Amino acid sequence: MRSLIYAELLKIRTTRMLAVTIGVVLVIAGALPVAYGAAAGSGDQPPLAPESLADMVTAPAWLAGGAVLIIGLLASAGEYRHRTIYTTRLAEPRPLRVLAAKLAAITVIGLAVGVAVDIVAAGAGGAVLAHHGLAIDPFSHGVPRLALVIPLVLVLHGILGVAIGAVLRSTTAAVGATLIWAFVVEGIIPALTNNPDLVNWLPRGALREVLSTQPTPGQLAPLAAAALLLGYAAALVATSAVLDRRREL
Amino acid sequence: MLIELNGLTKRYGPVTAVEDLTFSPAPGRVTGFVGANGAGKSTTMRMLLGLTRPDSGTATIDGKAYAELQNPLWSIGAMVDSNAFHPKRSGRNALRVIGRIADVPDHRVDHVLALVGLTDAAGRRVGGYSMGMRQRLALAAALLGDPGTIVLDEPANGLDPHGVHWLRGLIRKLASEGRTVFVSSHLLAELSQTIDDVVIIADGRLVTHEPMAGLLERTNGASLEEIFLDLTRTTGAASSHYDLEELT
Repeated sequence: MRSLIYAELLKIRTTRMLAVTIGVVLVIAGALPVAYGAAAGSGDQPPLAPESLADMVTAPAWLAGGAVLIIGLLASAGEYRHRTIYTTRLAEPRPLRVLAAKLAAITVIGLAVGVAVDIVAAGAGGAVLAHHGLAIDPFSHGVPRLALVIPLVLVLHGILGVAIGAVLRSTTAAVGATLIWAFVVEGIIPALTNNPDLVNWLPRGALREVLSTQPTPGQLAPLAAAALLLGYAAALVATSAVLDRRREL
Repeated sequence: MLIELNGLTKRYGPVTAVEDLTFSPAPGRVTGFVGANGAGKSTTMRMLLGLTRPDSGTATIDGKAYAELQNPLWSIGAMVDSNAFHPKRSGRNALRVIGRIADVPDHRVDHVLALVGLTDAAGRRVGGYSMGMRQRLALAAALLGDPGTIVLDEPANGLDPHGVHWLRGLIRKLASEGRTVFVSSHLLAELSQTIDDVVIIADGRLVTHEPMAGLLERTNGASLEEIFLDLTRTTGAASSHYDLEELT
């Protein structure tokens, strides 16, 4: 199994996708706290304060999550686009082992990107605070919890990406379906059901609570939201595993 | 290694791609697999390699289905699609990825690249390879695990005359080392110079499986192309695929 995981990591590493995606994410992770600092105090933005570090650390998480989701999605659906699934299956004919290796590989990548984003965003945020003469306290205001949660959230995104790609077997369909779900379906469902609170039970709502620095009254607690996200990921992985066993190439 | 196909049948909706196909390519010999377009050659090979599930029957390698083989690339190497490589990955990395899954060391990757004449192009992206170079890379992938059995689906596609000549020599060399080589091709004149045995199928059904020498003797030295056209005309199978008058 270890060979299979190494092979999946090698696949991701040997195209430019990973380097380019991580490069863009890290540049933005460094730029967002600077932009946050520049905008603070203007309009309805609160002024900078030591506790702003938590918001600055959180700022790149959504983008980084999306990037890891795309990496996961391309790692699985891309095999069908480029037909490399044939050489993969000839070398390892058991589809569940291939799926498990992809999930393990994206876990490694999600954790690594998450830690890198933490470091860059916290570093840039700290520099912004220092520039404004404010105290830097990385061990309070929920920053340690966020630093731990962000890599895990990125792993969840990657798992979702691998599972969506494995279910749809098409990069275009997988990217399209993800965007439609995130920006259309999650917006429409609460309106259609006349139940605005429903959004809390959808992936984006749960993600927002996991990444919030302070629990919002009437919404899911961060742990419950994390469990819900895990449930979504587990359901998608189970679906892709069942379909992988049934479908032919 | 013994390949055995027993009662293999595959249907796609109302179309029967392969029907009750039973044969066994002899170990240590080159067996040619011949049939018209849509006769079921690729489907048969894909069922042997576990890429397509048969509706009935079995395809085994030394008594085991492909999916039951531990590290299958060490037992059977296959070339089914020369475009099954990521265009942005280099030829060497494409093979390293496959080799890593099968626990094949990197020096073996360099060895098979040299064997197929791609050493100089190994660092280039596959997207920039010609069709012939991709065929060679796919062949290198099939040889990666130094397998005792080699399955090649249309290996001469895209190769220039030098490439075809080289491929013939390689296939003969692999067989002379005791390997079982099972190869499909449309290039019947070329194939007849390479194979020991021939399996001809039409409309998914077995037409004949016999040694080339015996077949040629029985048909008074007719070419494989003439034999193929005659046998498939007799079954009526080729009439939907070829204008026989035009070909003969």
